[in-house]
Formats: sequence, structure tokens, C-alpha cells
Amino acid sequence: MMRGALHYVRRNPSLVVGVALLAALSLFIIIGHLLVDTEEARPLSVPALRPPSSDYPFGTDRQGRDLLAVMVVGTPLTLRIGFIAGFLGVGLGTLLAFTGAYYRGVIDTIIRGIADIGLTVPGLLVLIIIAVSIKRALTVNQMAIVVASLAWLYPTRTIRAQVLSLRERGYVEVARLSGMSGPGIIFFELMPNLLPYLAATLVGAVSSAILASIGLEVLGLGPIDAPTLGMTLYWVNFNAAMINGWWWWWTAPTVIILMVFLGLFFLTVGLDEIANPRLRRSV
Amino acid sequence: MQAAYIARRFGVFLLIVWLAGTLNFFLPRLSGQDPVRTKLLQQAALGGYVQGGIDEMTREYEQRFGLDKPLWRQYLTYLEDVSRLDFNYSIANYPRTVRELIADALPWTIGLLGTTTLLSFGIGTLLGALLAWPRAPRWMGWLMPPLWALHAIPFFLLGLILTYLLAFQVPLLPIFGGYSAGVAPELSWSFAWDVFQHTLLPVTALALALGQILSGAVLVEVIFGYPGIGTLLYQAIRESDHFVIQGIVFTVIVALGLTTFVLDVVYPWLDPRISYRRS
Repeated sequence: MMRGALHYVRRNPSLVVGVALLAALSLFIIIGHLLVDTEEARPLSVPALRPPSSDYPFGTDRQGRDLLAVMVVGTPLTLRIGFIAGFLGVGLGTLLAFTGAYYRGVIDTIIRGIADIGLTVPGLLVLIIIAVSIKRALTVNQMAIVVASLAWLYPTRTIRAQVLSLRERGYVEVARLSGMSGPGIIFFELMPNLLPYLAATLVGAVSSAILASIGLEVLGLGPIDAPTLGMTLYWVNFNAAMINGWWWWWTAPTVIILMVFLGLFFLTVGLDEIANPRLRRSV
Repeated sequence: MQAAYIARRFGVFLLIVWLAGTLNFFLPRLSGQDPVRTKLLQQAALGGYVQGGIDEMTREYEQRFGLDKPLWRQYLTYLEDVSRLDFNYSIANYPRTVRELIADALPWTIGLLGTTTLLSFGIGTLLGALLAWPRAPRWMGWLMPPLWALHAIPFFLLGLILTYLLAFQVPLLPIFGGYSAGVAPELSWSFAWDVFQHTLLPVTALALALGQILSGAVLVEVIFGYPGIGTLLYQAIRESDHFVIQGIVFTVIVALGLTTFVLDVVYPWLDPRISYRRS
């Protein structure tokens, strides 16, 4: 058993790297919440603009926030936006893809048309219009829903293509001939076979949702009073921290965002190898 | 058959333009308030950005929008204006029009994207060919995973890191803006060289990410303070200049739609294996 696991690890190193990076991040968040005073993520709670020291390992920013506390509080917020938007996107995408690809006809044409046209439009710009139209300041959860409003397009298209190829398989035909209902086939025959693929799609969707949310935040359309990673970068840019030489202000969020994206990326590649055996030995 | 194919593609293009315009019209109205009025009053109270007369602007808006008319009339007028690329005045920069502002910023972005596309095409083709070449040196094989990983990193983040390394640690390239401070835009070789040097850093960040180049361009421009569409958009968001935001979003969506349409039409001609017929 142990040998088998080791053997598999060697064949799928991406999965290990991805899981390790994300586990390290989770540890940072959990231990951080135990050891760090999260109140210091609020403005004016510590002296401003201190470079890293033993008191403030990540330094402090211009508004008087301890950047270590900001990272401990902000990383889970950013991940939450990604997960909510990712789950909503893949959920809705799966539903639409299965209905369209299984029943075909007019519904399918409409779903495919919307997804195809929607994907040619630069998503960030549409999200900007949506975020600008909301008058009040966004909360973290509203932010997630804004991002989710476009997050279903790509999953819909790719999952639909998978279902189209699956529904022609022999076992689906057998189920249909033996009188199984449409929803029954979808849930008990098609869905289980697509689970690994759905997992890989989900990780990809979470990653793009985080990217979109950080993009909106850097432009100043994020939850203005929440210390998410993207909002930290917004303040970095807003205060021209780079030109002023406050290097520690942007180093911490940059490193953590890098870990998030690389972790999710390697996880997707690893899951893809499980879902799609033909890709094996490509890394 | 060809005519039918082109007509269908053009139909999709028109649909995209219509959708972009409709989104622009209805989304801000869903939230109830009138953004223009609120904004004007807000700024009058602050005594801030608006230099021109507010009465003048309000009257202008009411006339133009026909705010007393029913919604469907307003919608039709709006579509008509937009089809003439008339996006109204900028609230923050009155009496400049949104079209003027976009026209000023667009060449910068097109220049940036053009340089990016050429560079990434050159480097990408070369690297791709080398990596696939059977007699390439062994170490080249090790390049692939790092390149993949690089692809997963958001470009504005790469931009941030590159700025620090190339403009700060090794002061090779200018850090900020589209041309040096104190240099006035003019048509001369020295200005062109100055602009070129300023393009290099944003381009290196963009050239690494081909996929969503445009959304990326917006953010990269913001990080570098490059005077293109992205920075204009960023300023408009900071000043709640709705007309500028809508104008930019519409222009970019239409420009991309047009590009897709042209590519769709030209592609079968470039690559004979793809036919105009429905598969």
C-alpha cells in the first residue's frame, strides 16, 4: 500500500507539488490564526511603515496594519471568494452542460450559443461593468457572486463537450434501452464517470475566479474595507509603494498569491492526469 | 456558401455589439439611482473634479437622454448614439468627450499589444520549435515545467516582480509611464526611442501570457502607469466616471468582436484545410 502510494507519487509529481503548496498555505493560515493577533489587520493598530523586524516579521503598511496579520486574515478571504465563485460556476456549468448535451435540441443551441459568445468577450471588462453598477461598497461574499456571474461559461463549454462524447458510449445506450429516465442516466451513469474531470475543472475555475477577483480589486472595485490579497495590492499601487521603496509591503502578498496560483495550477495538472490517462507522461 | 458563412459570422459580431450596448444601458439602471445626477451632486458638494458648469451639463444630459421619455425611447436613443461611437461627455474631464479620451489612449494600448504580439510570436515560435526538435540539447527538456509554471502566474504580478528587478535592482529600463517626465510627445526619433524603451518592460510581462492578453493589458498598464486604455479605465473607476467606463468597455468588446470576425473570415483563406462549410 505504502509502496503503491510512493510509486504513484513518483509518476504524478505535479499533484504532490500542488497539494504541498496548498497544505503549506493552510498551515500558515491555521497557525497564524492561533499565534497572531488578527485585530492588527485593522488600520491604525500598529506603527506605520516599519520594515520587517522581530516584532512585525512581514513589516507594517502605511495605514498602520501589521502585514503578517493582514496576510493571515486576507488569504482565507481571497480563497473564499475563489471557492464560492468556483463552486457556483462549476455547479451551474455542470447543470447547463448536462441538460444541453443530454437533451440536445433548442435548449442546447441556446446554452452553447451563450457560452460561445460569452467566452469571446473579455470577462474582466464585463465584471467591471457589473461591479461599477452596484452602488454600495461590496462585501467579500457579494464579490464572490459578481465573479461567479461569468465563472460558469468555460465549465459549461468544456463539460458539455465531455458529455457529448460520453452519451454515445455503449453503457449509456444500455441504460436508455432498459428504460432509465433522463435525470437517472445523468446522475447515475454520466456524472460518476465525469467526477475526476469535474474536480479538475473545479480547481481551474477556482483559480480563474481568484484571478478575476484580484484583477477587480487591483482596479479598486473590491471590498474596500476587507484586507484581501488583491486589496493589499490595490493599496500598494495606490500608495506607490514600489517607487517609495517600501518593498516589504508588496513582497508578502506577491509571495502568497504566487503560492496560491502555483498550488492550484499543479493540482489541476495532477488531477488532469488522473482524469485523462492519455495525458500521462507528458510532464 | 462563402457568403452565407460570412453573413453568419457577421451576425454573431452584430449580436456581440448589441449585447455589449444593452448590458451597458441596463446594468447601471438596475440599481435604481441615476448615476449622472448622483455623481454631479456629489461632486458639486465636494467642489472637486467638475470645472465646467453643472447646470449646463445637467441640461445637456437631460436633452440628450430625454430623461422624461419612456425607457424604450431612451434605449433606442442610446443604441443610436453608441452606433455612432458617441459615448457622451466625461464627467471628470468635462467638456472633453469620452470618444476623445479613448482616441488619445488607444494608440498606446495598440502599440503595447502590437509589440507584445510580435515579441511573443517570435519568442514563442522559436522556443516551441527548439523544444520539439529531437536533436535539441537535453537541458532544454527541463525548460518546459518552469515555462508552464510561469504561465500560471498572473501577468500583473510578474510585472510587479519584473519592475522591481529590471528597473530597481538593475536600473536598465524606466519604471513608470509611457515616456520620460519632461519629454513632450512629438514625432521624432529620440521620442520614438524613449517610447520604445518604456514599452519594453510592460511588454516583457505581457509577452509571457498570450491567452487573456487584453484583460491582462488593462492591469499591466495600471501597474506600470502606462498611458493606455487600462490606465484611463483605472482613473475613470477612481473618479466614478461612468460614461468613460462604459465607453471603454464597449469599445474594447467591439474591437475584439471585430478582430474575431476578421480572423474567422480570413482564416479559411489562410489555411485551406478549414473550409467555409459547416462541419
